[in-house]
Amino acid sequence: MTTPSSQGITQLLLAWSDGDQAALEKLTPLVYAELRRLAKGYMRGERHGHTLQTTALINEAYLRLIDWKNVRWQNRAHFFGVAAQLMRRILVDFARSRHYARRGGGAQQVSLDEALTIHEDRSAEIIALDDALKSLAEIDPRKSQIVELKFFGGLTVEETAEALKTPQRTVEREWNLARAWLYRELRGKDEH
Amino acid sequence: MNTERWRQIEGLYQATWERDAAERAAFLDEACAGDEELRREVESLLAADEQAKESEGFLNQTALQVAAQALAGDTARSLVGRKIGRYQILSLLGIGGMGEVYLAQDPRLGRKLALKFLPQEFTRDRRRVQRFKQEARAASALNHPNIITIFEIDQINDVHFIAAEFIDGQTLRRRLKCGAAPLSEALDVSVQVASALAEAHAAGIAHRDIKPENVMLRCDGYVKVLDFGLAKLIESLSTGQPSSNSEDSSPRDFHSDPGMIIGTPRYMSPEQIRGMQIDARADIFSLGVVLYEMVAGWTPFDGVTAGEVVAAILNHEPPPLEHYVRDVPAEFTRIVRKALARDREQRYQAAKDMLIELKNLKLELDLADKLKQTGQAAPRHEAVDLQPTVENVMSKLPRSYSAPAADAHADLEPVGGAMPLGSKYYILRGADDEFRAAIARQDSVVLIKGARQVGKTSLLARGLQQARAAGAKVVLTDLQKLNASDLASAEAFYLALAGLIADQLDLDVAPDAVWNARRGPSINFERYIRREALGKISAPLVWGIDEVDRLFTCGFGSEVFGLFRSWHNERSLDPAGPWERLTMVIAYATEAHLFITDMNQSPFNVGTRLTLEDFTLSQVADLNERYGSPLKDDSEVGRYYRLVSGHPYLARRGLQEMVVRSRDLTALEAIADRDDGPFGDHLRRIVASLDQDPALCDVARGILRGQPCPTEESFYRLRSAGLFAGASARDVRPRCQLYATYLEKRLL
Repeated sequence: MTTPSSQGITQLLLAWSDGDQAALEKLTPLVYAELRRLAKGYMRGERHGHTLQTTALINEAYLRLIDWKNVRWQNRAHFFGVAAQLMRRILVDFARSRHYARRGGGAQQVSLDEALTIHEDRSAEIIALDDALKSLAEIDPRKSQIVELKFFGGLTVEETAEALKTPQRTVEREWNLARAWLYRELRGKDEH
Repeated sequence: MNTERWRQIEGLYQATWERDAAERAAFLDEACAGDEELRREVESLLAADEQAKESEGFLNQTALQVAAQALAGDTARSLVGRKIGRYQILSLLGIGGMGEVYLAQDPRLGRKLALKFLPQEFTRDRRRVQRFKQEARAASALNHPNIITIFEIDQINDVHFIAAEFIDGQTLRRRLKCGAAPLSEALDVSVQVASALAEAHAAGIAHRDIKPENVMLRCDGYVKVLDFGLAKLIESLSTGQPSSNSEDSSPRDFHSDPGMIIGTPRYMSPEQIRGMQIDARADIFSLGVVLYEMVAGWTPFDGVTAGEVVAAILNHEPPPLEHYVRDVPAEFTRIVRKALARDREQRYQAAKDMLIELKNLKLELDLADKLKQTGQAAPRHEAVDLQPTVENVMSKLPRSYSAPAADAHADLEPVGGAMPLGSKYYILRGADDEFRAAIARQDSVVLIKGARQVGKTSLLARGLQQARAAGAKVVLTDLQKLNASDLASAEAFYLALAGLIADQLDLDVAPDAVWNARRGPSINFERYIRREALGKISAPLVWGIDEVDRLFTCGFGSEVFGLFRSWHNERSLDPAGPWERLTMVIAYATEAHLFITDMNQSPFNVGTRLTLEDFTLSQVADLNERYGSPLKDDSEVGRYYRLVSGHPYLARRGLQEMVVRSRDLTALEAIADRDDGPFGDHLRRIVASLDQDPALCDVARGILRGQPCPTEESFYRLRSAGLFAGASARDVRPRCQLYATYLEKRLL
């Protein structure tokens, strides 16, 4: 059974893909709420060393946001694509705003923003990946799409294959190469 | 790089990738055939693949995971130890859907507080923030003991935060994780929440998000409702319209409203789900859900998905409470059902109405409980008959005890209860000196504690007399004189107490005249004492409270002790304040310790403690002389001392028996442990109180057989109750020979 809420999200997603920007406004807080729930899970997990628990939380979060399994949508593949794009958009925005905030958006004495600065900034990873993915799209749009579906959309290989109407084996091979390319693009640069 | 070249690279990469590492070099040599750039490209990608595979984080997690970890990392490591504005952040208290909450110190006022940072996505829109601030400021103006106090709503750069009272306790949610609450606890919590809602609703503020996460249980028993008005911030965001001006009452399409799944719909009223304009009655419904959940352990409208929950709220009747708990009073079920009426016209129309019904039920149940207890263990009422109250004693002031004796026994007083002030049988002990000094110093709190019949009330009466002689105003409230309805609720108790005080001090303003139903009872009481008693009397006030152990069994007892403690604390903070002139003398029996299993519940940890010691051998010898020396010589005094130890009541009772009945010591010893003997009443009572706790009875049996106490706790309880003496669980013995003989006879 599909829940009214996930149906609601489905409709918002479609509205967004049709160009309704207000839909994005409404979807963003939902993703953020899930983010905080997950963050909380991580903090608990870190303290107690339960990683399994957080994996379950992640699955649950995607399920709650975008109820893949239960979507009876005539064009499931299209839906996957839209959802992944949307997640990318929202999460990159999220990462940017945090990253910007950290690098001193405001410059008054001891600001909360400064206080937030930490050594390892994983939100930067998302921004960098988003940029690299744009470069990848120029030479190989399909690999870029695979990464978007898997990384941003949280799809499994099977689901990605379904969305792209491609054999799983092919998806796996292409994913491997895309990951290597992106890794070289991002980490390789750091080393030089 | 052009597409064709990329295809070439990809083809070669995949072909190489499928080969074993050992074959790869030779394969590439051949395939690249001198195109070194192609070879470098493929090799570097293969190397990157190896590294990426091993790299824990890189693309092996989803973006949502990475973002959440970034958030978690920030939260865990960031703010603690930092200074935000003038606040020093001490630790993270929690993370919720509405942001992160930290414990912080305000160095300016030297107090701890909670800082709640609002998530930025809720505060980007300036107008929305403006509306929120208006709401929150209105809520922060609420002054009620069950509503969290907001100190400040502010921002630093574009981060908004709320500075609020720090509540040392746990959320109701966490409490419920330990299982459903007993009816009395559920009523206690819901009464306080309803009281908070009544206050807010009267000010035109609805909470909109009543749920166990928003109800804090403070360690001292106070319940505090959090986040008034905050729900509106989310709501207006998710509906995309300012809900405060929304005139639209047509049902909102839940299906297209994702705001609904922020948090949980479990506590939402049908009208909230339908997106209608909501009012105070939505809070009543939510409180009904919480009340049901506290007792049942499950919410009334349940489901695996939000959709199922919503469907249940809109269409289903909750399972009867009897499915979860036995013996739910019909009245309780009726209250819950009325709060949960789907049609809000059928619900309580005001939180105040629900509050009254909840309070009445609580009162009835407490009363029934009391009756049950007294039916089982009647001794307290016998005790009342035996014990003249301090007031009786005081009223006879200043009758001295020098009247000439008409016959040999005319000057003998009944033994038991308070001794007349001039009694020649009153033996001064160390506690008398300490008490006198405390009264002279005008200490804020003096505690007189001891087992039954060791002379607490007599000591209290003497201290008060001394204070009166020194020019102080003296009030005495004996809680034994309150009836059950006075003890049914904090409100009734405080009113009764204020009434007694008003009577004795002849105050002009009656408590009811200034009692404000919108304030909490303890606030009312405090204001009354401060304004009408301390404010109108210039002399120091000494207030004696006797038989305080009656409060130990009341649900609100800890609240009362908390209030007294706060006066003591305020006095040390502000030596020129009103409490400076108040000395409270609190007397209670430590027998109660037999039934307080949690020793940390000790009602007081402040003030000057007086412990009534047993008489020493020489004090018993002194007493013997005052009775005309029925004990013939030192050796008889020694024998008698072993029999009753220095127990103040037993020592006097035995001597009086010898005088009145002309018995010698041997005759007294022969009947000492008999139920119809002179000590029979006293002995029966101690066994009766011990009988109420079979486990403790077993411990007592063990001790009588010469075993140590199995736990320090049981040792402490038995010693506090005055049954056993000793220095530790390993060194424990009956308090006197008489107890040993009687207990052996009755228990073994």
